[in-house]
Amino acid sequence: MNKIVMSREVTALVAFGILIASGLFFNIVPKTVFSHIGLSLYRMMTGYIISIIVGTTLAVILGMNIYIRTAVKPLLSFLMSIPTIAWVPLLLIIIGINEQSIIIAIFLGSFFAVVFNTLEGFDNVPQVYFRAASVMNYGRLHMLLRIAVPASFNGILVGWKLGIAYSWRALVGAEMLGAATGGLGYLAFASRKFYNLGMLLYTLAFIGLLGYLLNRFIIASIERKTVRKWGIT
Amino acid sequence: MGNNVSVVCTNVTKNFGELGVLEDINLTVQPGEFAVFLGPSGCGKSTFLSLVAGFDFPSSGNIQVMDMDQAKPGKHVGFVFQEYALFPWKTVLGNVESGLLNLEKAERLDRAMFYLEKVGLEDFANEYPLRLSGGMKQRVGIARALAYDPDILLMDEPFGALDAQTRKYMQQELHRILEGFQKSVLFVTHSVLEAVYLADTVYVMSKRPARIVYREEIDLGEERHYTGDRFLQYREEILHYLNAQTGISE
Ligand SMILES: Nc1ncnc2c1ncn2[C@@H]1O[C@H](COP(=O)(O)OP(=O)(O)OP(=O)(O)O)[C@@H](O)[C@H]1O
Ligand SMILES: [Mg+2]
Repeated sequence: MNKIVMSREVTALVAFGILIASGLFFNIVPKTVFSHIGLSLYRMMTGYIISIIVGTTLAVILGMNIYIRTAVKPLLSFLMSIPTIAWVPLLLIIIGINEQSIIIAIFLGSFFAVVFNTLEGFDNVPQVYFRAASVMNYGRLHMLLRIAVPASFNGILVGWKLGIAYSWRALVGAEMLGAATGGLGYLAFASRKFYNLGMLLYTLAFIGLLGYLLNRFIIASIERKTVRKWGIT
Repeated sequence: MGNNVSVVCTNVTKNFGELGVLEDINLTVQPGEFAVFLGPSGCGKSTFLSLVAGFDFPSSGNIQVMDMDQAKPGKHVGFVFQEYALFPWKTVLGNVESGLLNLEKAERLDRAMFYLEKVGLEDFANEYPLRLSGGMKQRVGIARALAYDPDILLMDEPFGALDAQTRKYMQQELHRILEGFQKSVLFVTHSVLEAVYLADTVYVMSKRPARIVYREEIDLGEERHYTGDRFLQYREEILHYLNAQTGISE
């Protein structure tokens, strides 16, 4: 009972509910707000999940070889430093003003962070685990999947967590830059056009709260089942 | 080379850059022999065991293990690590099973539970290592190393984190578990009592860079106690050599 009352997710969820209800009640946000939210969440999850799958798999493959790992990390670190929003004009030129551009922007937002942090996690696995596994005849693949991945899960989750934040920003940015005719970024931009300050502020609050909720619901629940239970945070 | 010896070290030297850690180690461990290594802290005991396991190479000299010309890691070796090295993402049972992946599920479970019972932790099978005390973790480490039935056991201060009672119990248990098996054991400890109680052969190492400064075969007959004239004689003598290395005056 106490746990439910105290839970940060629930508090944020309630705040979100109150915000939407009041926004609708006082006619500050349009009734279409739900479809804008739905559209943003849908784009976000598509791009983000693809980036997690592709990014983690790629990192695991690259991680098999310490030389490749050492070689690609500076490159990733460079790519990670480019704000994702800076890719968007390029995407708009190459891919066009459409849905794919937005999804790719979301993908790029988290992809580099996911790969980089997974590789970083591999580098920080205590050597003694590999030693323990090597006397038990673990081959390369077992070493990677049974030792390196779980042992570096904390680093992997850091990548996934950063990925959510970066993807969410990329999404809102891409929606604002005119790649979309819907979504929260579009709504924020539209309210500016009509000098609708109330709608703008409400939309910003939605963006912030949803970003927070995504992080808590996706990452916190994985954390509870893994690194927290194992005590390797 | 035949199978008539377990470990043969020939002129083994190990440096980490400028730092000399092992110097000209020569020794042979027979199948079934229990060899105990004592020496000042930081002298190179753990380094020595990791060379025998094949985790690292000697800077010069050679280590033959079983029928291999050079030590390399594999299931012929069971290693009990000074820092436990349990996998935190696996339960106690999962840890003990981790060296048994080649077995059928049912057999794997049987075997793991058998060794968990031997170390008295069957009730903790489904706990994660996080919830265990240092002594319990060490016992899981021992069960994990024994479970796949290695020929050579390398044990790095395996009872260091145990309270005096459990420690004595584990010494007797280990002695009992190993009875009837032809396992060679290379065992590192700081306790002279433990050394005399368990060993067939005791080695004392010098300060870094470690050399073997003393070797004695322990013959206590069938009876193993922590007292008795012979026992105390061995203890005095080993203590004498050890103190000389740590710089303790008598
Ligand atoms: N990989 C390494 N690189 C550099 N120096 C090392 C390495 N491993 C060990 N050493 C050094 O070698 C020396 C011997 O270390 P080792 O762990 O073998 O000692 P030990 O006898 O096991 O000590 P203790 O009784 O405290 O466990 C120490 O000075 C240590 O700092
Ligand atoms: Mg040591």
